[in-house]
Amino acid sequence: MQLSRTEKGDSAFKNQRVTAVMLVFLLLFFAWHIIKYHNAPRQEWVTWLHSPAIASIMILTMAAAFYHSFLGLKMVVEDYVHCKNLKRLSVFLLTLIHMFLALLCIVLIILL
Amino acid sequence: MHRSHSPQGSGLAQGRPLSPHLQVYCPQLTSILSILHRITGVMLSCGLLFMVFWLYSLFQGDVCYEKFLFWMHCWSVKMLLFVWSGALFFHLFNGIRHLAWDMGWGYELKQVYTSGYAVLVLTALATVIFWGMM
Repeated sequence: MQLSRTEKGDSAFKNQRVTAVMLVFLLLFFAWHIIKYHNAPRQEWVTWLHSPAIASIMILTMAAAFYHSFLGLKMVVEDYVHCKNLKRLSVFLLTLIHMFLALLCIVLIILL
Repeated sequence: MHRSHSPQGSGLAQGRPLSPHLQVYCPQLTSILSILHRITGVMLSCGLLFMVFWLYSLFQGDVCYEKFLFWMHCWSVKMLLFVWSGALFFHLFNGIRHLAWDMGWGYELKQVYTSGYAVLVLTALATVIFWGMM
């Protein structure tokens, strides 16, 4: 039991950093694109997202962003919510919301 | 020191003092940046909803996207976006600082302060440049 807990903490620590490194590059790419095309009409964005390479990059961005956000918020909840049941409930809700919104974004990119 | 006799529970429930003692704690650059990293992180999580709205309005069609753009150009939302972009750049640069620490770099007190000020300067620069280029 103790060992499996340690392993879990370990992987969360590692995953947080892996997604962080991914997001450094993905967000710089996205920020650069926003600077260039923020006033572009809708169709231009849709065409941009229709490219398989761009769609993949954006899906990766959303997945990494939501996972990183989940790990971060989970850490905050675990640090500041002291009541055990409330903590469990909050982490459960965080999981649910992040999974749903990440999936929603990915599906939207694919269906666009 | 006074000890309560509750059988089990957190330090808070047992009335033990929690460290750091925020009432008498003197804030320093290091501690401010540390808590700012958390605060901006939470802000960015909330801001991810912008991405959801953006993709959703793109999917919904021209009318919906026009409405989205209308809201985005409203001054209060623009203010929010400005703060959010600042939070993003801060979290980005301070995150790189944290990653460097994870690799064992920059642990000397002087380096910690230098990188801390560098993060603040870079954040201000990146935010201004980002909005200046728009």
